[in-house]
Amino acid sequence: MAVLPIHYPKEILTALDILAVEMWGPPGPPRGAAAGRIQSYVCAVVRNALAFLASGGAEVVDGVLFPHTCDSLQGLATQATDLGGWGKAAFVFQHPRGGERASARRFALEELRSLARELEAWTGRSLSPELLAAAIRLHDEIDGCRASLLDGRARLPIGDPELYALLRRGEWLWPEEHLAELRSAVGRLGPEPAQTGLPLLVTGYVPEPMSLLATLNDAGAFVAADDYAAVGRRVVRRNGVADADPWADLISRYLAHPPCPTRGTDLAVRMRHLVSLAEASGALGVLVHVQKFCEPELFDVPAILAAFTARGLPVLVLEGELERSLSGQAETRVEAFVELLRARGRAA
Amino acid sequence: MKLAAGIDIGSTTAKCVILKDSQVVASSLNPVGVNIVRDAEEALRKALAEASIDRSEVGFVTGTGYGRYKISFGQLTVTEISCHARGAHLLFPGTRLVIDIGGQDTKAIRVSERGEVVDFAMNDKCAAGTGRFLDVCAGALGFDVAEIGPLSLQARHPVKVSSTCTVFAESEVTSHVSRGKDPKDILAGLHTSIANRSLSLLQRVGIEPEVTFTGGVSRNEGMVRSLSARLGLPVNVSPLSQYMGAIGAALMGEERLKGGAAQ
Amino acid sequence: MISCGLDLGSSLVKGALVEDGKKLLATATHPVRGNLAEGGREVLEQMAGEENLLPGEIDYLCTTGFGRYMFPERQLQVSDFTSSAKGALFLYPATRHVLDVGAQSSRAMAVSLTGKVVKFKMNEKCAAGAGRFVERCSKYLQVPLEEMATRALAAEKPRLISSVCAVLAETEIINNVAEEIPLPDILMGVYLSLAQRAFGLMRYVGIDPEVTLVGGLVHSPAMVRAVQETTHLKVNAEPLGHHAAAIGAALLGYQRSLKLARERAGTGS
Repeated sequence: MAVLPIHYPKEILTALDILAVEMWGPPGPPRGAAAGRIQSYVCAVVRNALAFLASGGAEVVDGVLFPHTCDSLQGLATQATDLGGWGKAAFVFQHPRGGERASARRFALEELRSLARELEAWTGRSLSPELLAAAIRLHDEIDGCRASLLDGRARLPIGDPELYALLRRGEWLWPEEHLAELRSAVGRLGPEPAQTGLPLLVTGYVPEPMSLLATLNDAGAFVAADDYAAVGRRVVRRNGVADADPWADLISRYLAHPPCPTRGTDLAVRMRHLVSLAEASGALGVLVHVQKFCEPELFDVPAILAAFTARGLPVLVLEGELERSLSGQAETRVEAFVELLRARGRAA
Repeated sequence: MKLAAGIDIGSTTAKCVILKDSQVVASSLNPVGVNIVRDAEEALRKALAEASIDRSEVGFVTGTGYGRYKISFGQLTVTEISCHARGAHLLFPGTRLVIDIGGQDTKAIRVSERGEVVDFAMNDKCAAGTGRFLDVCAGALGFDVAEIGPLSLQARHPVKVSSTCTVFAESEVTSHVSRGKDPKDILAGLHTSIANRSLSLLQRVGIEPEVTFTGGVSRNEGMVRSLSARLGLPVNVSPLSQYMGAIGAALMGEERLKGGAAQ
Repeated sequence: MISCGLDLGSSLVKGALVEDGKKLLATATHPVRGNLAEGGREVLEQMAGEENLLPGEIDYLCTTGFGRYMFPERQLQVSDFTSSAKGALFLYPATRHVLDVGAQSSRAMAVSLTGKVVKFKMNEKCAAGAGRFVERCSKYLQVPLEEMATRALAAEKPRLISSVCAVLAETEIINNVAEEIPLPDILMGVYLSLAQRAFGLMRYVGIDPEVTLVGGLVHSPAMVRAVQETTHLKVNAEPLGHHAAAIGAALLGYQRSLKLARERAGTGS
């Protein structure tokens, strides 16, 4: 099943033995008639996904899941099913807005149960509480490994391109296979810092193009704290099962995610989280790597700039459009930013 | 101590500077073509020849500019942003803001009292506000880019150039000429147009004196005047302004030769 | 009843004669040399001659284009937005989307069933989205402007241009020449880059299964192909598209004269 790459209840898909494949569409500017169905001021993720689906991309999957995290994805869900020749199942679901509240739990439970019922009917499989509990355990374990790698980033003796390639294979691998890879990487965490570069906090939607990471490493910096919506913000840190009932536990797990604007987190809560991420990692600078027209991320940029500038941490805002590779100008910006940070380090 | 060389490969020219005890002892400038590696080598060779220095006396080569990756014989590459900051700080220690107007981009760089980059903003997507804008429009008036600065200072009734796009500004220039406007007045308008674009870039990083003007366009005194007038501040310019990136690059090499960063 | 539309542009005057708002009788083109009105009269005479009409037999004359106020004999003038939309709809009745890439500016328009412009997006600030880009390339690549499009058509692997500025693209194009990229591939890259900018405008007004090209770009097979390859839409491009604004002006002139006649009849009774 193809999934739009943002928050979605992967536990339910795993429990029903459905393989989730996240769809970024081919990088580069979207082409074709379908790209034109969406205005040019809509983000590249949505435009590319639509162009990809319309050009036959949906043929290799059995269905598509559209999480309603922003207006653009929501718009895509209504348009995609409209495409000529579309015969695939399409599923949608809404996220509860705001944090831990009884009403949010109720809403999420109803949404997820109804999605689960649709998926049961579609697959002809039944979702028992035991299967769901097992899937939750599996994803807790995956997240435990991912958290170890991200939180112990400085002690991991590999470069950012390699680490992110590993973390992002979770976007399309079967969870068990992904877990095995993650476990072996966790085994490589050493007792001492293995990174000599300047630690950065990076926030944004997705580390695309991945060559950005190589540029960062070559310039002498590394991602010490990750707040990418598609990476760090999907890692739940919790100690074991919170509720005996797997459905209640699924909701608890959902609500334990790091703050993310696409799930309607309060801005103050998010800023506290970002500041604590920066402090815990010892980040010396902040890279805000946004995708053009990605509204949920962009709305928070002024607050991020203000908060970190006030704390004396330099911020670089880099805007991309899911390009194939980083432009020479963007490379210069990134390198100059790292040079700026290094100079500050010397001065201190 | 050995000498340090800095090579700045820009979009139109390759510049090389040799530093000895933080003093410029040689410099060279030549156009860049397709073979950037060869142009970089040529820049170094010319600078060495100018001051009769043997290649073996150079202990460190630093590359900068958009072609910095091509300087395969160097020991270090640094972005032109850091280099212009350091170079400007060496020549004008009071520098807090650098405006670098080059052949095809413009940069505003805020600098610490130690000459290090605090913040920067770039225009690198459009020729408006860059040296290219002046080149193209000077061409439309039949002038060489070297003569337009002094001529613009003789303007009596500066003409307003309203097009932002270089191509459209070029037509606008032609139509002003056909309506009998004095070329000097048109030139003044073109300089003001660039100063306005620069000002908005400078405002993005924050305006703070002293302001040092670097890059190829800083040799144009009309541009210096109109930038200074727009800013309401005096502007530092050195005869070596065009070499600022190469000077900064060489300076960083010199520090490495001294053994690590200068503390 | 015969109505005439004159599209007075910066380099060409285009004219169209229409009978009873239904039948296109004649079109003509004349370059502008100095006086716009002279060019207009030239076009008028040419068309009248073709149809064996006396100047007095033209019932209504409507002008459009940037010089629409400079033709004293006009009875009406309309903007070229209105006229080219109307003309496009006359040529292709299913048209809901009109694209015009001119020398100085380009624009995309969404058109209603009756030929009214309901939404438009225009670029007139940046040469990278206008025909001027092609003219400049023709100069520094030393390919005559008339040959640009035909030579581009031989492209096998068009070389896309990454710069969004017509002036900065020059350096890129010259580098491509130095890299010995075949000329047709470079030229087609220029047209594709223009088409991409145009597609950006089109997306703003909303895409329809077909798009009608109007203005001088219909004579550029490379531009037509570039729009086709970029948008994957049905692209209507016939030489008469160049006269769309003139045809539209003639039609609008006819409508106005009918309205005036109705009003006169109304007040008479």
